Amino acid sequence: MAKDNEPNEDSTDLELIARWNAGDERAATYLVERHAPALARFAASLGQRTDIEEVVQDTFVRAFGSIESFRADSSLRTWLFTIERRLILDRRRAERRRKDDAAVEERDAATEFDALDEIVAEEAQTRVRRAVEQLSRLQREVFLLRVNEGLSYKEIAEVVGSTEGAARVHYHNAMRAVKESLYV
Amino acid sequence: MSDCANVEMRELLPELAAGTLDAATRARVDEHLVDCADCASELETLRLVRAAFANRNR
Repeated sequence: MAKDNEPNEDSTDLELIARWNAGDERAATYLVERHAPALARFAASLGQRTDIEEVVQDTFVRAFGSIESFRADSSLRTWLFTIERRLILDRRRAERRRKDDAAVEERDAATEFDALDEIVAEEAQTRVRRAVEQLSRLQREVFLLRVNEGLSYKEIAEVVGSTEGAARVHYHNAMRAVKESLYV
Repeated sequence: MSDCANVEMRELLPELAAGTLDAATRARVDEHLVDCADCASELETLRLVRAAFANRNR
């Protein structure tokens, strides 16, 4: 039976971080096992198609290398997601430079991360526009009224001449179609 | 890509993306998002949609 002060799967993230800072390598293993699956899913949701395992591993390397900057007022997983997102942006910047270094480097000179963020955001927005445009007219109308205009299902039903329940179904079908179009 | 089984939380994601939730509800959804990659992904999609169509309408 494990001693109370030894890391185990029931230890909180903060306890494991404290153990790792104290030199206990087993604590890092527990943290990786706990958060790696969510990080892999998150990478996929950001459009990462290849090297997901490598991205997850690099995320932990970065995280453990700067664990002193983790503040307990946010969750460890949220902090890891932030690191992973930045890492993916870094990788895309490198890939893009390999393909078209001159133009991008000129833009990077002053606002490196802003420029990269913009490129990635534009690509993602183009993909999402295509996905929404592929919805049926009614689905698209319901979806955008809910997401962009913030209307309740009751209000949407009044707008499109439907029922509240039907509006809810159209919204969730549309969301599923958009996610499948983006991430599958 | 799957859907979270917690319908209440999923239904609050559009309002979270829009920034219109009250503080207490927002805290509950934030807490759920910590352990739910499905909802985190759906929230990312909602933000993308908002950004995409806000830009187009500029």
